[in-house]
Amino acid sequence: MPASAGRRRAAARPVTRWLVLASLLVGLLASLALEGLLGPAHSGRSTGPPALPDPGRLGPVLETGDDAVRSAPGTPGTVGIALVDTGSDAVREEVARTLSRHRVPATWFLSGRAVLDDRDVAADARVAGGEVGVTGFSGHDLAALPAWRTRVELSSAQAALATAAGITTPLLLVPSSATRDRVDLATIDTARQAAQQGYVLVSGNAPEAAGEGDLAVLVLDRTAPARLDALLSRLSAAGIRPVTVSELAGMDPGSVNRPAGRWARVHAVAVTTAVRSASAVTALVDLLFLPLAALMTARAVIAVVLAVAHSRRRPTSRPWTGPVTVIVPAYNEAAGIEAALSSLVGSHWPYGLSVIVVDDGSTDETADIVARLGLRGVYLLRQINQGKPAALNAGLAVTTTDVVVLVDGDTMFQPDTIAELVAPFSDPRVGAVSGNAKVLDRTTLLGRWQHIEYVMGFNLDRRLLASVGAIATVPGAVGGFHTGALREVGGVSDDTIAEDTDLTIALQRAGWRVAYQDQAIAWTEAPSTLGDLWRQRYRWCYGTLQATWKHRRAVVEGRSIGLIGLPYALVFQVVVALLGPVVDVAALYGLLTSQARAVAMAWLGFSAAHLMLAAVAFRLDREPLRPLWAAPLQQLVYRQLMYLVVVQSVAAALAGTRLRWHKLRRLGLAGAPAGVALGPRQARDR
Amino acid sequence: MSPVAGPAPSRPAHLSRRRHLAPWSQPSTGQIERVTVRRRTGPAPLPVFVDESGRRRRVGQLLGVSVGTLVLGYLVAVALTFAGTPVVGSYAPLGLGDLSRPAGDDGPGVGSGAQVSPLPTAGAPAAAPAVGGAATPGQAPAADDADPPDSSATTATSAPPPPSTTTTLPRGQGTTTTAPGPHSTVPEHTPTGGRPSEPPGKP
Repeated sequence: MPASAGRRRAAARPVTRWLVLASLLVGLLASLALEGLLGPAHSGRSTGPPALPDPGRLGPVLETGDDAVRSAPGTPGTVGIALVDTGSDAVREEVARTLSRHRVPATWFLSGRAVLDDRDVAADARVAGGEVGVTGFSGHDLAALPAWRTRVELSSAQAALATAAGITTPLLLVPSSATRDRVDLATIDTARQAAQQGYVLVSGNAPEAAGEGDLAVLVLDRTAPARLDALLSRLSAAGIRPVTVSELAGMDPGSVNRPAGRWARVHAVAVTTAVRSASAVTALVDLLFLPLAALMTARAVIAVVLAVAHSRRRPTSRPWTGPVTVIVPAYNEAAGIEAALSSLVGSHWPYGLSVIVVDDGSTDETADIVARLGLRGVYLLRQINQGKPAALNAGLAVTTTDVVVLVDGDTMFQPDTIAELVAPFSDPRVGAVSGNAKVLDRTTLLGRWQHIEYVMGFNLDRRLLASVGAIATVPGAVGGFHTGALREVGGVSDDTIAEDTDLTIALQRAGWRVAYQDQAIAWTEAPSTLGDLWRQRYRWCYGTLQATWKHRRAVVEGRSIGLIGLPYALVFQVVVALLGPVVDVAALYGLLTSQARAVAMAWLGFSAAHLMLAAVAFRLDREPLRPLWAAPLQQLVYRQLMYLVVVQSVAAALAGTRLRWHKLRRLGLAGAPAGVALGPRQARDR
Repeated sequence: MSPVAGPAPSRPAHLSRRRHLAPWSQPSTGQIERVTVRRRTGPAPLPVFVDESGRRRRVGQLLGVSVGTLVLGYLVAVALTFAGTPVVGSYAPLGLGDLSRPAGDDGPGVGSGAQVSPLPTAGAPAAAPAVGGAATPGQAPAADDADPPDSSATTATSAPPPPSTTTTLPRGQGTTTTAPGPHSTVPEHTPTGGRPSEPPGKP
């Protein structure tokens, strides 16, 4: 390593992960669309006036041409048995038993989905000399569907049949063709269209009305077994032979259920795989949605309750007083260091305050500025560039006070910040105190978004975690530490690029408590461009992952940080963000379907809930509510950006990519500290 | 490096500990101490997750490409499903013959017993009621007022007389009972065996 661990050049820009993500999301969209098209359905329709001129005179199998329908008469001395499956296993089995008891073959009309769900249905139907026809795929009434959907239904049903049983069938039966006198124009239209794909329409009569040479069509509902039994007994008594549709119509038995050709099978496997996968994916998304919504709701409610309680908490002991050392690690902070130091030395802290600026080998004039300023109580420590953790440790090495405050070089304190921040150290069990970082520049939309995010993060998540003693991060921008505790855990580690999270977790694993002081306010500059924001969040997220992984054993150690803090960070910062794109794509798809209203309402509800949470957080922080108008807009760009950051981070973590120490561009705001190098860390609000 | 089990939270009051005050932490004189801390020597331990060998990266890349390819294949399958290409393909399994040709022209097969009914198109509100019974050749209700002079009549006569009952009814005509379809259209069969015009309905 030529330079420090953190500042190494990153590898070539990785595109694979984005292509994979994009293809996964497109695949998801395709799955939802396909499932929307072919998912289980039960659509009925009211039939129109009869369309066949003389239904009684036609045979059981109708070939439908453009202008005429043709049929062969039923074979005398027989009655055809057509069974229309409804997907009920129990009825199916009972009917099969009845058939085998009477030793009668029948023609089973199955939906493609029933065949896919139970491969044996088609095979079983053929065992007793029976044959198989289709009703469509999803359960929709084909006569109620537009032509292109009918085509998809038929082709998919055939694919299911070819995959499950290796056969094809030309027999089609739709609900309105079950009895011939109900065949209407829509049925004829469907039959005509199906005929172009090689289908014949099967049509018959109710079992009770079926006479010699007729087809008895039995829908397999709960009454079916008894009706079938009655029919077979009646036929047997009359000496009429029950037969299949093909035998009744005098068709060549081999022309029904022909073996599917090789290409048809390949095609069929592709189609059934697509349909099955679409169903599985959709089921998974559905399965995901409710727990996710419940999780988010529970978190929101708990956060509000605990946050309000936390904000009303009053200190039980006198605030701690004593000498304090402030360590300011600085790497190329020329633009903001002066404002930061001025604010620090302006602190109201009469008990002794030293500020140690550790210049981490800056290449700009940071050190010179500090030296030139010659502020009272400010000391400069210089080191060759070794990264922020090393700088902090260098400062720590020369610290002699019991309490040390770590501040970023771009952060401004209020005069009372130090006093508020160190107050909890009167409790000897407290090892660290988190302050409340606030976004300085809120004039831009991006600034406002971050402002909202910070306020929500510090006032909801952080108060929640503070209440249960599981704060995972004392932000690098503003944190107070017990010097002994810091030394006990070996100082600041550079194992991760989120040294503040790493340190906070380590302290708690060592038995120290972490408190949150909402009045210890530090003003920090937030990234002003999307690119800078991206890099900052990438580092935070990757760092959080690193720290969580490093301290994974904490989960079994029985302390709050392991039981609540780490899982909380992992679930709400990583898992939820990884699932976010899935939910968004599903919502986007929903907007294009008949569910558009429901989806829009859900989206509005979600935004309203988010806005209300934000309002609660703002009230807790006594912030003016005006910037909240930007909150709903967060749902459109900001949220998705955060999702992508998490995807990027997880991919980088899996691939073992080394991250550069991302340096933000210096702005040098007039009269304000500028040049964020080492951003604050905070619990984020999703 | 973090200790797994820390000390008891209630450690002795930290405030009582002896304080070492470095000269520079005394009230400042405005002087700035310059201390140069030497670089750490020796190899640093690798940060969490980092894989210097790049093996995980290559595996990840391979995995990503495989997943992408899989999804691509899936998308093709979905497209194939949406296309709805027919799998069956065989026409006229009844063996009744080509519907665009007159019944009986087909030679052998069950077609000899075929029954043919004219069809209304989607535009017609109700079907033409049937002409009762099986019509014998020539008995078909007058079709000659349709545009082409003879359709079904020719069909029927040209058919070998089977025990069949073949009825060909021009649509919307020849009915005596109820209202016919609003428009009479081309009869389905022509003596020359020509194809009927494309229907206005579904493709």
